[in-house]
Amino acid sequence: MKWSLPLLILPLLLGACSTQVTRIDPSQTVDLSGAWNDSDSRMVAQEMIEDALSRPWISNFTQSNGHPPAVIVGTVRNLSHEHINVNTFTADMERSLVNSGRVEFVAASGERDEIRDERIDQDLNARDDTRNAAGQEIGADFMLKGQINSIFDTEGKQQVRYYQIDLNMISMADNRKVWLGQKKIKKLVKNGSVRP
Amino acid sequence: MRLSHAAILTILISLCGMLASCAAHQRQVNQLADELHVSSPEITLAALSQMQVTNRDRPHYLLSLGTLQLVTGDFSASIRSLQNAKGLLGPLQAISISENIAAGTINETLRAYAGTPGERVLLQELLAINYLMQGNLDAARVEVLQADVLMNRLLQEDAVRGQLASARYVSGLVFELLGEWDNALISYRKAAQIMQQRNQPLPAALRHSLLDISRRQGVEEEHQQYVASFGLAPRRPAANEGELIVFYWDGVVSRMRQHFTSVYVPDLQSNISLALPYYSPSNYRLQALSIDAGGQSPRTELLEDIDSLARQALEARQAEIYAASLARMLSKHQAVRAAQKESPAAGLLVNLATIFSEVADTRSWNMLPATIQIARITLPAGRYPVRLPQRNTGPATVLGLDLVAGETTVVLAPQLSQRIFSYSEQP
Repeated sequence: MKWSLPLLILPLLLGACSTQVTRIDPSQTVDLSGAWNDSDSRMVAQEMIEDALSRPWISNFTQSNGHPPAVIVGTVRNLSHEHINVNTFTADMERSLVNSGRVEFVAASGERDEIRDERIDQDLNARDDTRNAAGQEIGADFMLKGQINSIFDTEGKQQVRYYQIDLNMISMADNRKVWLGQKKIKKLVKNGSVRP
Repeated sequence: MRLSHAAILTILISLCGMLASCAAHQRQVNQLADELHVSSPEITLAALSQMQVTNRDRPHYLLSLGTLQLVTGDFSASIRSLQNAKGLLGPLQAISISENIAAGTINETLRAYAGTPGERVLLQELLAINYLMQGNLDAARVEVLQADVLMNRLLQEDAVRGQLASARYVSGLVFELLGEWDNALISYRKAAQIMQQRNQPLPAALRHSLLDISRRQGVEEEHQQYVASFGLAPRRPAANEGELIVFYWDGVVSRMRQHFTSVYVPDLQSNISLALPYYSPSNYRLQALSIDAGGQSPRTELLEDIDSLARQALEARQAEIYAASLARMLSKHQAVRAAQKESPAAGLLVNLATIFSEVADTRSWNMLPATIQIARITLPAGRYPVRLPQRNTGPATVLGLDLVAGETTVVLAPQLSQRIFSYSEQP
C-alpha cells in the first residue's frame, strides 16, 4: 500500500506542466527540432548579401550604363524536404542591397498589380499635381531567381540534413547569369530515444 | 504513510474521475466514427470541432479533424490540422518513461497517441493531396519527400510496416506533374514493388504510369518488360484529349473495440480484469467509382486497403499490448494485496479502482476511408458523368466532371462527402 498508490498517481502528475514564455534576442540561434529556422534564413541572407555586393556585376553594370542596376525578385523555388518561407531571406537581401545604395529593386509581379490599380485610381481621384502617370515604371535589368534543395540521410534516430541554396542574378537583356550565390548548411540531428 | 479509508476513497474517486475523462475522448471519437457510416461528414466535423481534448489525445483528435476537413473540401483547415498533428507526432516516437509506467500500472489510454507507422505515412499522403487540390505542387513535393524519408527509415526496421503503395503513387504523380520523370519512375516502381510484395494486383493506373514514364525516360529494357507483363501499349493523350486521374476514397475504416474480462479469483480474493482492443470481422464491401465515357465505363481499382492495414497494425502491436497487460495485472494485484493487508474495506476499494481503471486503448485513425482506389484514363475533352457510390445501397450519385484537352485533371472523390474535388495542370 505504501508504494502502490503513489505509483498509481505519479504518471498522472507527471503529465501536468505549465506554459512558460521567455523573450530572447532575435539574432540568437535556438535549434529545437533541427528543421530550417530563422537562424538558417538569416545566415543565408547574410552570406548572399556579402557575396552579391563584393562581386563585379554591380560595378560593371553601373560603369557601362551610368546608373545602378534595377533588380526584380523572381521565383525562389523550395525543392527541399521542408516547408520553407523563402520570403524571409529574399526580403533581407532586398533590404540590404537597396540600403547599400548600389542596387535598386523594382516591385515583383505579385506586388505590381496593386500599385497599378492605385495609379488608375489616382488618375480618377487624385489632384493633377499629385497624380502619378502610367507608363513611367522602371524596367528591371536583372532578375533574382533561385532554389533551395536538400538531402536528408536518416539512420535510426540520427539524421543528417543538408541544404543547398542557389541564387542567380540573370540579365534581362541577354539571359546572362552575372552572379551565382550559393550557401550550404549541414546539420546532424539526433532525436532522443526516451522522453519523460 | 498510513492513509485513512476516507483518504483512500477520495484518491480513488479522483483517480476514477481522471481516468473516466481519459477514456471519454476515445469513446466520443469512436462514437463519431460509428455515426460517420450513416451521417454526413459535415455533422461529424461540427461535433468533433466542439470536443475538448487533452494533450495526450490531441494528435489523434487532429488527425480525425484534418481528415473530415479534407473530405468536406476545407483544404486550408485540413493542412493546419494535419501539420499540427505531424508536429506533435514527431517527438512522440521516443519511448516515454511515465507513459510506460502508467500503461503498466493503470491502462493503455494514458499513453499519448503516437500513431502507427502506416498512419504517419498516410498523414504525409493526405497533406500532399491537400496541397495538390490547392494547386500548390511545390508544397505537395515537400510532403512526398518527407514521406520518402519516413518510409525509408521505417524500411530499416521492417520490410512491410509503413510501406504504402498509395503514398508512393501520390509521390510519383506529384513528380510527374512537376516534370521530374526520373523521380516519378522511382516512386511508381516502389508502389508496384509494395503491391507485388502484398500479392495485390497492380491497378491499370499504375501499369499505365509505369509504361508511360519508362518509355519517356528511355529505359527501353524495363519498358519492354512492362509491355510484355502488362499486355498494354503506352498511350499519350492526343491533341483533343485530356488525362484524368481519380483517387476514390471508399467507405470508412473499421474502428477498434474493447474486449473486457473481469474474473473473481478466490485464491487472490479479488477480481482480475483485463481490457484488450480488437477489430470485429469486417463487413466492408468494396464499391468502385465509375465514369460514363461513351461506350465504356472505366472504374476505379484498389490501390490501398486501409482497413486491412489497420488490422495488421494492431496485430503487430499485440505482443507489446499483452506484455503491458500482464505487467498491469501484476501491479494492480500488488496494490490490492497491499490494501487488503490494511483492511478488507481498503482492499475492496482498491480492487474496484483496478477494475474501473482497466480500459483498452481503442484509439485509431478511424475516420479514414476503408480503401483508396485509383483510375487513370485518357478521354476526349468534354463533360463526363461520374458515378459515386452511396454508403447505403441507394443509387449512385451522378456528378459532372469537365475534362479539358491537353490538361491532366487530378480528382479526389470521397464517398463520405459525395463530392468531387479536382485540380488541373497543363503538362
